[in-house]
Amino acid sequence: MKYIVKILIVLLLLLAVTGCSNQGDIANRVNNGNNVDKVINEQIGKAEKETNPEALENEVLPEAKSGLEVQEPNITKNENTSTEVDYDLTSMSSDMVYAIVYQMMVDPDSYNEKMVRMEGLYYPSYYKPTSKYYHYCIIQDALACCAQGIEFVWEDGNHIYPDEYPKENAKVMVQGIFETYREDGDDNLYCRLKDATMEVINK
Amino acid sequence: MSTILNKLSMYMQYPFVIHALIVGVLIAFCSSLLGVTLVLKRFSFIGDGLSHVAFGGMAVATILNFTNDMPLILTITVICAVLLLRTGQNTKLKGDATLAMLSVGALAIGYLLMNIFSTSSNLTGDVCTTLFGSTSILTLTKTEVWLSVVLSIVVVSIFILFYNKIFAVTFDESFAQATGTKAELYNLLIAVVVAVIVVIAMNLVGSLLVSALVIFPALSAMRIFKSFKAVTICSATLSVFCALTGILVSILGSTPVGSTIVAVDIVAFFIACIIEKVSRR
Repeated sequence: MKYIVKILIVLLLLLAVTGCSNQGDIANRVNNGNNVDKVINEQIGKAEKETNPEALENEVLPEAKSGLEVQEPNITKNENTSTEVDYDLTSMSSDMVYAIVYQMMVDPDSYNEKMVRMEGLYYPSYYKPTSKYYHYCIIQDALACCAQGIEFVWEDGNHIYPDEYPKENAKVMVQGIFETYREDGDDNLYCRLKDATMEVINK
Repeated sequence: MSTILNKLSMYMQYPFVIHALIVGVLIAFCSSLLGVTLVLKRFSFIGDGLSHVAFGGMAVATILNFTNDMPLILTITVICAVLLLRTGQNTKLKGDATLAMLSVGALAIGYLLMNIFSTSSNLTGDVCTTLFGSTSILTLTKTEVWLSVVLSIVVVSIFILFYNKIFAVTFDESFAQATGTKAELYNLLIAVVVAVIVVIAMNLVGSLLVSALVIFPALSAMRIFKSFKAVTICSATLSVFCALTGILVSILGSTPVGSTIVAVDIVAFFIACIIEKVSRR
């Protein structure tokens, strides 16, 4: 009798835990505030997968660039562009900022064409194969041992480096539209903030 | 206050925060259940030793570029838990010496392997995250969340099903053996369950702080209650409360998750000590 009661408790526990695991609604509320946006993004994602199915599986951080040819990036276009800030990371704690940037890197589709505002340290990086400078906004976690960077393109990308850019490690606030892109001759998918505004907070 | 609540409700809209809270609560619940047994059997440091072994396992999984490293870490830690229990009896090396040897050995070898064969550009960050948890609980993949949920259910089920046997082995192993209970088998079961808890708890507080999650709630509960059942229930409640408070405080206050949970556990322990002193008068 005692064993039957115990087995029943275990079964109830199983039911209780599996019952509270549906996160679908929350995911939709956060990541897909605009349903039209969601449909467009899904269609673009599908079209991209059909043209280059392997490439989407090779998502890496911007730091891991390994292209060989010097060519303009092949940008993933989206007609629907947000105007309001969808993810204001400046009002969040460092733990949350780190976690959201991590999510952007592992699940970029959910953040595509969303307006992101973030605060971090400016870091430029020269990449030999493309002969280009890439500009990053670096954020750290609460323990200050882990750092992640998001590439940004300041306005139309015509600003001259280093004359117009701030010094390395200057605290900057960047606001731009999140997008994924690929360099020609490179299958990796990169993330960046396009049409970004940059403000130096502390020189 | 309303600002904090608004911020909290905003954070709660992110699925990874909900995942972190669910996994955090489950880990805290499981670790506290076995914590009472470990403290009473004077096995408090077994969790610490196994967590170092798990760090070594994680190093191996990292250099092998495993997408999901949990199964490998789990296998290595469970094997070490079994070996630890077997070699502790009737051998030249006594239990505490074997534990110390295994603990520091795994830590050193793990770090050495990560240094020699590292594929990461941020080795210090990787090691730091593994040892102290950092924001690991907020960056869990769906597979890790499900694996943690399933393992937690397994641990709780084992505890419920074998509650009487675990109780008997914990308090008087010799008497339990004399009455026909296979004490060695149940000790082995406890060691395996502890290994599972250690591996899933590494995501929450990191490998260096895992034993705090096992020991503190049990010790706090022992200050207030005296019966095994009451201590276990109080320990589980306290552990879940501290883990929830720790996670929420850390995401609101920009502090490292693991250290904050342990800090809350320490505060709870001192409060329990005060309650004990007051209730004695």
